[in-house]
Amino acid sequence: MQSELYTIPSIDWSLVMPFIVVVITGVIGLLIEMFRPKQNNNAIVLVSLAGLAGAFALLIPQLGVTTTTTFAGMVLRDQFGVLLQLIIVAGAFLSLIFSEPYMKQRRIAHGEFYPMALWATSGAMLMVSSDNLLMIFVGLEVLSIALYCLAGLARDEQRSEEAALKYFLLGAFASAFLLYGIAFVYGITGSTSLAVFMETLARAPGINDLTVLFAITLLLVGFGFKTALVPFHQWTPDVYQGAPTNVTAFMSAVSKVAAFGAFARVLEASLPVQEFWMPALIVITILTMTVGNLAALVQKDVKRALGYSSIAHAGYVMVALLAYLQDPAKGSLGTVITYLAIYTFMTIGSFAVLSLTAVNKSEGTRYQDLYGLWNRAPLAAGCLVLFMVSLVGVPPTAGFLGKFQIFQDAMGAGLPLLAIALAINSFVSAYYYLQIVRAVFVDEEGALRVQSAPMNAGLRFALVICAVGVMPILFAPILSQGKQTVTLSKMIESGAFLQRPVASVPLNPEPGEKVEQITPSAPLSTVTGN
Amino acid sequence: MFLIWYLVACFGSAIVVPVFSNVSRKAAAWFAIGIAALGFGWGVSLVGSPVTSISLPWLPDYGIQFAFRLDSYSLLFWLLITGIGVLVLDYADKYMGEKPAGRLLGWLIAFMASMLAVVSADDAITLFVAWEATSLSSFALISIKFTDEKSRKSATQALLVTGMGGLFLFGGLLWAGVENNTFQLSQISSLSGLALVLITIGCFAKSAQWPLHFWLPNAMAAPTPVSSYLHSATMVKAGVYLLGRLSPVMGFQPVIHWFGLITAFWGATLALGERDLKKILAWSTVAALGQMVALVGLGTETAAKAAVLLIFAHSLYKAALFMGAGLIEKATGTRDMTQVGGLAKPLRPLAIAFAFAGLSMAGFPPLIGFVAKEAALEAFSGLSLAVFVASSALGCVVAWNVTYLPFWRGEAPETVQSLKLTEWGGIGLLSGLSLAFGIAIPLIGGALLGPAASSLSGSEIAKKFSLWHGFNFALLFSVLVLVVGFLLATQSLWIRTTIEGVRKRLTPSTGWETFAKNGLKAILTSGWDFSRVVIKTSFRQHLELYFVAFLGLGLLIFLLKGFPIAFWHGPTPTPIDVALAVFASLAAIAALFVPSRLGTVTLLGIVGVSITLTYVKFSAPDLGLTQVLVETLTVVLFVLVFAYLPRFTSISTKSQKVKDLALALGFGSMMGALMLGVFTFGKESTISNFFAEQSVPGAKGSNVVNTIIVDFRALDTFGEITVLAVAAMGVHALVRLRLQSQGRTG
Repeated sequence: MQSELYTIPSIDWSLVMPFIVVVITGVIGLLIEMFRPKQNNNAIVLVSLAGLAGAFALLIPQLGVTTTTTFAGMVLRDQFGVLLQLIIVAGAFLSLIFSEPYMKQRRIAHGEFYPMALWATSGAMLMVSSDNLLMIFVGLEVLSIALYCLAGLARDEQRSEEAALKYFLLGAFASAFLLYGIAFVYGITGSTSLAVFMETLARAPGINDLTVLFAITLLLVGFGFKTALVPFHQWTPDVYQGAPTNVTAFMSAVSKVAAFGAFARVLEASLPVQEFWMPALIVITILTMTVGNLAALVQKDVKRALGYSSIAHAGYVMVALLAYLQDPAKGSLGTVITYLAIYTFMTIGSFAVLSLTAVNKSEGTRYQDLYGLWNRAPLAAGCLVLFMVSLVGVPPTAGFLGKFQIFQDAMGAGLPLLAIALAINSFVSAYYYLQIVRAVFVDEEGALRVQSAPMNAGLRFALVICAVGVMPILFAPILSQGKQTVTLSKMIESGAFLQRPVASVPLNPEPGEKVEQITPSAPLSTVTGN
Repeated sequence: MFLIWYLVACFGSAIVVPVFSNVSRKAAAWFAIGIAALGFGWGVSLVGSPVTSISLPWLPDYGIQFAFRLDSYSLLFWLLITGIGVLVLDYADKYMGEKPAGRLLGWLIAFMASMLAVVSADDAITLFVAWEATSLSSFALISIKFTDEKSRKSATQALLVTGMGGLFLFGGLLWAGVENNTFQLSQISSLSGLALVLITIGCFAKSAQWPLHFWLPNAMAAPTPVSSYLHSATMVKAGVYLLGRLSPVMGFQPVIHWFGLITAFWGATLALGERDLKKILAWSTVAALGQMVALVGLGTETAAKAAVLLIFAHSLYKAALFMGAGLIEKATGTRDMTQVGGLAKPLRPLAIAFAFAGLSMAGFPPLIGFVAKEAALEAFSGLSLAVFVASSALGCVVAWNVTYLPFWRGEAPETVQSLKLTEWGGIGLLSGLSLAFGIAIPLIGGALLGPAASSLSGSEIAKKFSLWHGFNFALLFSVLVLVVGFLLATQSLWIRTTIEGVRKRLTPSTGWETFAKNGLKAILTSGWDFSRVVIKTSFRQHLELYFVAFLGLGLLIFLLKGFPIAFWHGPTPTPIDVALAVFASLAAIAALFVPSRLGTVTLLGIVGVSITLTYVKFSAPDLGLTQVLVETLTVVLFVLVFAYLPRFTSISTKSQKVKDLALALGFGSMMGALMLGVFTFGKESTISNFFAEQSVPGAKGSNVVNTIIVDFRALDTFGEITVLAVAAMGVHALVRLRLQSQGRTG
């Protein structure tokens, strides 16, 4: 009796190894921070970067391997998750590598930045590698709580503090919504697994519509916050502007990728009732693109403008995602992944350049502060121009390739409205990106005497990688690959979805088996929820 | 394959030349010229040979490839681009004088390569990429003096107009690609509706057709080599090229035809009202482009022949005139035609070259411009013929204005230096070619222009090219154009002042340029309005929006799915349940009205305890335990941080409070209704029975609460203990901090 009651699930550690490496690296970093002899962060930086590189290396062999689960179905390894994890780790690496000189310039070189960033990364990795809502939630919280602290890294500065507090309070609300949604999902299906959720919806269409729809709405609000969709975007400009630039870079890439990864899984699980949320999300997506771009037009601060731009880009990713969900044959998750990857390079690169403008404690991110950058730091200025051009989506940059792909997916999937909105928005956005380009070239004579920090090796490295990253040639194979191999579930059409070895919980479980599934859920959620 | 390697080499040298230019400027310039000459030579070797095509896979899954196809029509453009490219590169090197020229040359080569890619692309996406590359390099070239505010502005305007046009083009190409199920231009079999409209708009923006014509004269802020290359000879013809390329499969051409004619007339008229030599030439370029578009829009064989001739003739004479304008500016320091005169004496070779170019522009035999005009007059009929004759006559006046007035009238200032052969040589060559090709028209017509016209119209054109067609209507009109033109030319001064006067009286609010500017401004203003209305900065508003959005979505659901009517399906509530609920609600409401912070926290604690008791009541002791601990900890933390918080002040206005109340009530009732709805779904609770049954056999303990906490959910308990320990450490830190600060102050 006893042995049947408690079966210890067999665990495939290789699946979670990259995650574990990142977490442990964080712990090591913190230990070094505590016992280091000298007052510099070099050791921590090295260890952190090595850890991320190790995680990256461990992830690569997992590409193209068949979908499996471990930890009793709580951890899922599929192509989608692995690709997103690669982007997350790369993004973290790129934003960490240029951080140290910048933080020194601003006198905020606190050693705890690195462990926190690593843990945030681990949270993000967790978010995209599970289709269990509880795991996603835990990942989200690990990511978010670390980010709240990071946003307030410049402790002496009011703006940074404000950013942290706002982010935290709104984030807590969003988490509450999300949790409520998860509770509803559990109420409907008796499980927090998205696979079970989808199965339930698919098997019994119209199963208590009201609750299902509310559950989805609540999840939507929660993820809408994290992915910065209008009207849940309000925190973005404040936090992007207030947080130290390296944190902004980190956040704009890592957090966004993770949020979209999880959101994609949730939406896909909700496909059986898509006729409800699809129209709502189309409206939200159009609003997101439009509000983001229009608001960015009139900003006077580059970081803030890029904050709004990130909202607009979230809208673009949503277009790709909706195209896939509307018609998995025409749209493709490959497009979503590719665009996220391209955006990661563009955004981290831009913020890396902006980190140069920080001089002696303060940072200068107004348009005027970029004046004459061309003369002061040609490499950085050239890269910034490249990133801006790519953000607009001008060929032959990768930004164009990504947008083109999205446009085509949307047209193919029968969402011409979104495609047209995307095109118009790209045009509008050109204006403010070009303003930034213009500022770079304005002669500093007559303008404010502006300075910028000296170039450094880390920054140079990050810039070169990002610049290579916006070359389209890289992504063409990924796109073709993505079209064929990356699916959350082609299984939807083929019906293979229902046979997938997910959490070993049948719809109406025997009492004995139920223990495993229920045990962690209720008390954990109560603790974290408070 | 040479084609692709050549394009790659061009882009490569666009990077190499500026760098190399710092080492040896002369060698860099020769290298650049050599590259262009190589392309020209290759082009010449292809004359008369069949279509060359090549393609490399790019995104095979989407049917997109790097595909190039060079037929006679494309080859004509290829030769013009590389041939004039050679001269312009040479001219640009000298134009820059002592100033570094590397960047200019580099961008010119990059532009040349993109333009070559445009005219040889056979894949819609390849074409679009190259198209945008020409826009971009044009942006860089116009703003090559990027420290100058005006250059930057004009460059941005040009980029916005052509960039927007590019977007339309992109949409159109995609549409056409989806409709025809191929992105290969040579396979597209029909083009209509939206796709055609979008493509046409894109081409119009690029080729400066009315009403998108205004950017071209402003782009004259660019250095003269750039103007002569991009804005007369090549880039602006990209729109004409694409319209021509697609003309065999196009629908509703009359519209395109008439837009072209309007542009032709309007451009010629405006050219007469300018004083700036480069602006005059720019407007006359607009006019010529209009004529080309009108011919392409006609779609007949004669029109195709005329279009090809006109493209060829225009490139030759206009490039010469532009380069000459640069020399005049160099020599006299101004481009204002009213300020210069009598230049024929010091600049005699230039004056003669100009005269030939001008005669070609006016359509005087035996220059190639005459042949082109003859062909065009043959192609038109009726009202279009009248408009064309009028615009050509005005064109004659323009030709007079630019070639006669600055050279042969008045006296030149003493300071003007004569020019060296190396300086005017290119211009002389182009003008000479205008004459030579006019005379040798059967030759060039048979080898190059005839096949080009055939591939433009999509069917074999049998018509011969010749200078002399005998006495016919076309000749009559040609003479008419020249006579009227000459008569008008004698009055050119009066015409200019009149047009200037009229333009001045028409307030600037009527032009298309202002319209576009206002459009941009409107976008910006709406951005501001958005910021004001939608973008809230206060935290309260952020939260409000959250709840409003959720309420909106919730109401939508209720509207769609109906309000839960079945109110209670759960177990009948006992008096204890009711009491707890009422207790919690009362405490929550009271918390709103208590003036002190401590009171609020206490009341919230009471809410928490009520919830805990509810858990216990529904036999979830472990949950209850957790909840109690969390509640306690929260209160402790609250009390500890009180010291750091400002006083409890009322910051809300009355209206704000009303709004808050409405929001709170709305949200509360929605969640309440939802909870009732959930109960209609009510599952029977099963888990507690399981624990009760399994307590003794499974966990060897008869106290169910104990077994749940330490056996069934041991790991959870462990986690909770950890969390509490961490929280306790936080409390400890807070207390220590407080003691320290007290110690410091006390």
